[in-house]
Amino acid sequence: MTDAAATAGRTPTIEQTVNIAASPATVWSFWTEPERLAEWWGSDAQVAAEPGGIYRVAMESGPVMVGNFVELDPPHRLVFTFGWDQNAPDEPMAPGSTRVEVTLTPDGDGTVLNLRHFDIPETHAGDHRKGWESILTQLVAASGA
Amino acid sequence: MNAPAQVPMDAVAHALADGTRRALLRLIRDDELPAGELAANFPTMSRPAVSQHLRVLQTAGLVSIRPDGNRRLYRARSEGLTEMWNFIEEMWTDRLAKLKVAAERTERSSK
Repeated sequence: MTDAAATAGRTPTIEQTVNIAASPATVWSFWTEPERLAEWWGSDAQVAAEPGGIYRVAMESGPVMVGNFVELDPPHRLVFTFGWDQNAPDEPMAPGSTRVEVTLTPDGDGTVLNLRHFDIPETHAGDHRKGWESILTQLVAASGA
Repeated sequence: MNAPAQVPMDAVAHALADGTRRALLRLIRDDELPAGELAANFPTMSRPAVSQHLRVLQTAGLVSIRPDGNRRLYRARSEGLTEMWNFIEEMWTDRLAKLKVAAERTERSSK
């Protein structure tokens, strides 16, 4: 799967941008080094920061998140799959079913972090019928039912 | 009777993973229906089994129930899905704020 092609023109489900007064290299290390990842994301983190490598992050009183790194271009761009450990393949938020892209752009001495999370099952605001149809269709496709 | 305010997100995922429950949601996507009428759509399944599926959907916040005389009318509740979306969005907002603090602290101490 080539990322630029796979996601070009798609609407991210969730998009967030944060300005950080730290270099991209520093910010990058907080995504790829287990002890640094555990400082902000979860209480426990396992990370193999290489293409195809897995990560597993346990949030205190929350779900365990797992995924695979798809693309690493340090310290600029990081793509990984995202799901909840306990979910079966036909359930929403199953491991591998959603995708997160993080870009780090230098801004003076700091970094602009942009995060886009794709493929989360969602209802479309103001059109709940369409929302249901879309999620039920996605689920049927996922389960082969 | 509506869903509890805070529904565990894996309950939503679990509820949606079952074919019978997805079929039930389709039936009540546009129409509010009583349990008996819903059960009639699943002739090979016992009435208690259908009721159990409806309970799972209710626990996950995916259906709302309205009493009507001695009947209970079921309807799909799309907010159950919105809650999953909100959960993830809030997770990123909260965690990225923590990432910012941690990265800035490290940057300062390395100077």
